[in-house]
Amino acid sequence: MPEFRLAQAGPLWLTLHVPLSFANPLGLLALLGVPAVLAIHYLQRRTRTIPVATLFLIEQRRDQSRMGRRFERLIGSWPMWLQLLIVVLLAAHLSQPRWPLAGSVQRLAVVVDGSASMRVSKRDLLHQLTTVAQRCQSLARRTEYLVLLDDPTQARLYAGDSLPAMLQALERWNPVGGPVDPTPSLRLARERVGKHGLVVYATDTPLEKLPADAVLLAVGHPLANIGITGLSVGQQDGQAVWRALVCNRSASPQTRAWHLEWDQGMRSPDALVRLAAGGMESLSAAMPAGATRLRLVLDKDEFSLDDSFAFLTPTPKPLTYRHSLPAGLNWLPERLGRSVPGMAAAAPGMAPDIVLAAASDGQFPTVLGSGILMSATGDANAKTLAQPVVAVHHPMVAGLSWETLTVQDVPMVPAKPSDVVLVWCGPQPLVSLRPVPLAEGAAAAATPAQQLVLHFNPEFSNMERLPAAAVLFLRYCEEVRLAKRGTSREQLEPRQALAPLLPGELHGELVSETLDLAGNIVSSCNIPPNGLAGLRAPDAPGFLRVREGATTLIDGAVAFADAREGDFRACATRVATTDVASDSTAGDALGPWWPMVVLLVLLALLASWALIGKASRAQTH
Amino acid sequence: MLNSPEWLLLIPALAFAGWRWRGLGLQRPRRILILLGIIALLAEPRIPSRRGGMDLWVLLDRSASTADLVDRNVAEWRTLLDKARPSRRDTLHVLDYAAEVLPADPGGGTSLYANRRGQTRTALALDHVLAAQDAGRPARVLVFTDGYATEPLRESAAKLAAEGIALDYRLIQPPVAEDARIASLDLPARVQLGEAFVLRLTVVGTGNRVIPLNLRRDGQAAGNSSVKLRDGRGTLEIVDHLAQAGAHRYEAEILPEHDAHPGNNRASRWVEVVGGPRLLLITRFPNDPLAEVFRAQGLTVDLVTDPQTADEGRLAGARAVVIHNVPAFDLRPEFLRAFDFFVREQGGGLLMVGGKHAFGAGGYFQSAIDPLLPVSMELKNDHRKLMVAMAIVLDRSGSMAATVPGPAGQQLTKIDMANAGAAGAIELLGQGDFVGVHAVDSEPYCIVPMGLVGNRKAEMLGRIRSIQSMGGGIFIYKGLEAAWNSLQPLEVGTRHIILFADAADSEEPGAYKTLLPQLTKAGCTVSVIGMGTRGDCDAALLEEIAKLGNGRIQFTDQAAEIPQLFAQETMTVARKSFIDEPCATQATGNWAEISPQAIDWLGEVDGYNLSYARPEATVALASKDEYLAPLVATMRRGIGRTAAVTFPLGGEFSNRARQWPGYADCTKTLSRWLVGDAIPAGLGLAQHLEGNRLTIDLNYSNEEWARRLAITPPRLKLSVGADHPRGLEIPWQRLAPGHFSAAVELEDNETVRGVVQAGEHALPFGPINVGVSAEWAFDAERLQELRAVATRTGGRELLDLAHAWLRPPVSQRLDLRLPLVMLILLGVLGDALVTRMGLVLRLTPLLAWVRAYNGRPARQVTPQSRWLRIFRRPPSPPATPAVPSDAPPDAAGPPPVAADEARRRRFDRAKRGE
Repeated sequence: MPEFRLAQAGPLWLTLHVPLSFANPLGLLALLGVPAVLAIHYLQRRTRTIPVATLFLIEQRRDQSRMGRRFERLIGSWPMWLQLLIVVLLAAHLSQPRWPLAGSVQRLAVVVDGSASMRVSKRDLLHQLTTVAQRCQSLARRTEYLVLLDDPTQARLYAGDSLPAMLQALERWNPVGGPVDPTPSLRLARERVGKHGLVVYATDTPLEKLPADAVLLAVGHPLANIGITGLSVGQQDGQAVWRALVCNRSASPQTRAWHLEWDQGMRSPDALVRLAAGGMESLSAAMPAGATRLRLVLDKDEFSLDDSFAFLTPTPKPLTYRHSLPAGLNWLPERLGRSVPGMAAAAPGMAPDIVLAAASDGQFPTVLGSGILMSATGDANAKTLAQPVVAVHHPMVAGLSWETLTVQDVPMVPAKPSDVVLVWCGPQPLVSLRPVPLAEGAAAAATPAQQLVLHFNPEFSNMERLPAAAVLFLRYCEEVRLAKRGTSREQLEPRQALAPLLPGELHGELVSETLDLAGNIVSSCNIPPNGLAGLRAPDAPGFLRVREGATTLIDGAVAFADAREGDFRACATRVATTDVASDSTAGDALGPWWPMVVLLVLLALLASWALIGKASRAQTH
Repeated sequence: MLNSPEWLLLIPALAFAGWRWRGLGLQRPRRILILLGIIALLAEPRIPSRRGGMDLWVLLDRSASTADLVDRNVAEWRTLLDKARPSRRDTLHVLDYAAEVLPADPGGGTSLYANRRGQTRTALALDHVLAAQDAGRPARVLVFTDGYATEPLRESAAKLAAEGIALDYRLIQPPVAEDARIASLDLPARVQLGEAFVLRLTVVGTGNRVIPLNLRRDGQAAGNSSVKLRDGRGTLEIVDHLAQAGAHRYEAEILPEHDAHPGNNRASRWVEVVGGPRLLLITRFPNDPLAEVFRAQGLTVDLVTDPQTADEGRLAGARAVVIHNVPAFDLRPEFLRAFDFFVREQGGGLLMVGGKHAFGAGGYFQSAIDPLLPVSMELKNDHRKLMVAMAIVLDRSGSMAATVPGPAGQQLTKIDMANAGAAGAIELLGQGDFVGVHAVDSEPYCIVPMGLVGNRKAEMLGRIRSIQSMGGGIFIYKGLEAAWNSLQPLEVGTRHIILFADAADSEEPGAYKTLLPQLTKAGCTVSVIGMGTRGDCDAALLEEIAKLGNGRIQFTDQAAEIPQLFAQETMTVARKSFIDEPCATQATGNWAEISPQAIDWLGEVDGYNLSYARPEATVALASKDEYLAPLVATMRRGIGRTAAVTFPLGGEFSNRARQWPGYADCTKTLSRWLVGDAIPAGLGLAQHLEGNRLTIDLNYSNEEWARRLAITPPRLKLSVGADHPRGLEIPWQRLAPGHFSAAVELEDNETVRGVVQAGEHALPFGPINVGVSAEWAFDAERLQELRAVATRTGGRELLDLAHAWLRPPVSQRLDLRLPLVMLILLGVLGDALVTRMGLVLRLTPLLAWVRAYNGRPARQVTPQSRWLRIFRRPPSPPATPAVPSDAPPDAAGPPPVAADEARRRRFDRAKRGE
């Protein structure tokens, strides 16, 4: 909307130095209501004949005219003045007056350090930012604010011209991230505010040099923080045991009380942990019987994020296998069961997740799902292939060394055209991935299963001792596990991406729920089909469940364990002063007061009506 | 929708007021409407609206691969988009982008994009749009691109979808031209020693043809071959294996007969060959005795006897480097520069062993290695050689006016740096030395006449610093001749000429082959400092001048190094830093700091390099002469370790050392200390290069590493550019328990090395480079990703620009406050008029008129009387009798006292005749 400056309207305003401008100058047309009100009050009512006892009472009816509806004279009255006030107020509201200074809009971009340690300094940050913003406001009555996180992949926190709204946005913000290079965000902020704008980098740890002419606003302070930096659940003497690391990030010895909470309000007695200056201690205890969700709690300090640790026993989705391998290859299922977590032989009558099968007569048995297929032909006396073994570029074999693999030079199971060969020996494919045709009725978009094919007989090779083979089998099993529908119990970080933990193809509606210690649902949200990629663990530590319909896919505990954020020893307060300039104009004069203006209109209206009513009643009488 | 519905509570309050105070007249319909309007105004009503303008953000891909196409068509596109704009409220924003984002020329877009075109940073441009777009205002983004971004778009896609901004794209394809390019050169980042791996080269071009290929490994030809293109695409796969640990650089170049863009015909990649603990030994002795000692200790020794072949790739995987009596100017400058990061950040070890070509005598004073060593090599007056006469010939040709980054970010010219070098050389000379300076372009100009330094240093330095570049090329012969003419009359022990010249612009060598033998015959030497590289066109001439002049040649393409080279050269000439006489030794007892096992030191050395122990160094053995110079010293630098053995361990002046029984013990202990401890298992490092984005993943699995990293979080550092001499630290992101990840954008043609520091341990990696400029990679995945992002955000491929302004399926909230204010104003004025006039709104005539208008039977109302009947005066009240004097006090009219007062005033005025 074009801006109209009253200061430009004539020499009088220039003399008075009233730098008034209007965001909606057309609203000034409402002032035409002023002559309208005056005109109305110029109009006089036609005289009515009222028999009275004495002539002098006529003087009380001087707002009436003998001719009626004629412009005769203006007789002031309270209703008239109130109506004029109403018109002026409404005109002001319409025209949106502004009080700019000689400069104009000041643009302030704040790039905020999104690391979790900023939680401690948030109040100081708001205070300091208010000061900076007020300095900007003093230069131009309108200030535009842009608040970005230092991580450019995160959405902006605020963009607009309201300081309270900006502060509210920052108040609502709960940082949980780690350190990020602020350079891209600072450059983006500089692009947005132009060369006259102010770019502030708000952090708790002072930096010496900032790009993009940014100004440092360090609001941190050293803090004697004691926190949990990690927790693992393992087995000891056949019993599940949790073990936590507690770190003292201060220069003095500290003592803290701790306890464990689990499930339905169960709680262990308080115990003390004594930590040397800068030291670390390990807390450990057996998992309480039957406990599913637990929380280790330390005495609170100023940085509370690492004072409790929600956890559970991480358990991968179970995998089953069935094999029909000759005796010489029995080492393979045995090794899978031993080295792949959660892997076990399928119970009779149950469909296995992975079938281990050997070819007979150069043909593999029909396996409909995932499986590891291998040749069974070989000869202990055959010579080995002499050509070098080479792996292709594929995630399944990335970083694996195959040069020591020895394979017999005997007829092998040929590769199909659809096979993706992973390892070659000269022209001979040794290891392939074979896509399994989709079953009838399967969704067209469904991801087909893959079988791992060993075109040679591992019995007559050194594959059993080859580290690369062990990693290959593990990777394959993990891929099958990921595609399987089932519940995995996961220990998670705040805002951890969950898509890598979920099957690629989902059939039902996905629901993400946060839970309390007892497993009650605290909040729930449905994930749209296109929102899976952005699905993340919550910012706040606690418990989480992701389900697809009635099937729980992830049962997780979210805990903060970033040791870097618990160290406040380098934090300090440093505010770099700078000149701020403005390069355009505007500033809402009414601002948040406009409801008061409307209320004033209402009161004036009621008052005028009351006076008119009173006068009318008097006239009637 | 109401923003502040709490104001609706005023309705019952006003209803009560209207009921309680009937005189307000709130029961009247017009007043009810006005009040409802005011309450609605307070409640801030907003309604969903599809009205109002929208923003169309046009992103023009001005990268190298599409630049010409955009430049040609941008004006036409803008015209079409302007024509298709639905209303004035809709706004067109045009941004140019490639490696950076800039607002397009508002005039019409025929301007050329002047910034770096080496990348297509579509995601950056989208982020720019997201930051600039007004919240709540509908917007679309239209990208004119070939679809091959050099960075992933997935993060921007999520943000676009969240903001409801649709992404449309229009693919601009280059016209078919005879061009071939290397699309990719794929190699594994790491292989085992001797492991076979596949080198896959993909060439993209036009038609079916055979293109010759030149493949090099570590600069040596690795076979010439050809790539057969079928339907414009050809792939060549070569199986190779490497028997030498370290990093190896593969370079591929295609040589098509007709080619539109020769710039995209080359590609290079590094492969790191992982072996066991490796020690790099740089020596001139093929049978260096140190090699056997190190091998006996179980270390893999990488022996380099041609120092010029050592590059930064040789440092990959090396745990320590030993420089055994090799002069600095025999090593490549970039190799020397790599040591700082290798030692301080990658935790490598460095040992320099003495000899006539080591330490100061080898030109290491003020070199990149100097600050790393535990000994310093500064010049002291009592160690000077005989009197020195030095003539400096400075190139002040046109090329010396080029601007280069100087210290502390200053922008200086090359001639400024050369002046600083010459001045530094004079600073290092003693008062009894002679010096003269000539600046040469097409003629030599005497800046400082040859004379005794004495106490004229300040005057000389002032003159030198005033030398300016004057254009033209440097006439080499005239410069040398003038320098020799100034030196010839002097009878001093050492006469030396330093020629500083541009290796790419040295002209008129004239009869240098005649002049130089005359010089050397008279005992004068000539060294050359070449600005440029050994590959430059005049480098061979400069090398020959140095060779004929019995001097040294040093090249640098880093102008900031010029002063250091002058200083090294001066030190080599002016200082006697190798003591070539036997000298007794004395142990200090500090050997225990690196080994608990005592050592039986040798009693005398045949000679040693004179140097001084740094304050933070630990000296284990010192000379017993008047200098008390360090003979064995160690020091920690960063997380690395360095050591200096200043007496020779091989070659000349090493007899006593080699016969020393503790020789092997000493060198083994030193090497073991330099190599450091092995890294405990359980830490995994993976690197992945996608386009220009390098992603590093660090995983740890066991509790021991969890504990270590909780105490000292891991740090990731990269050696990138001169802006970060100590490496650039990249912050980690914690992706999951036990998993850190970090990503960084690499520049084209930039080679980086990196390290993950975990406490006192280091996991070095690299070198890594963007083998093929990502701009020319044309990764089909990027195109698919663009399409996927468009689909996800509700966008589409736009073939007809007339449909660009399709409003996205999001609605604005229209604020109703302003229309409400206007209605209230009109209502108030209307009410005032009606009240003032005493009119009564009667609806019956209006309804009758409406019926008549619709053709329905109605009462007979004449048109002339319709409007008059709508507003009628209220009927006159019936004549009422005069209010009796005893009327009740609440009756209308002034109270009796006021009436009496009025009557009295009127009577007074009548009396006064008013």
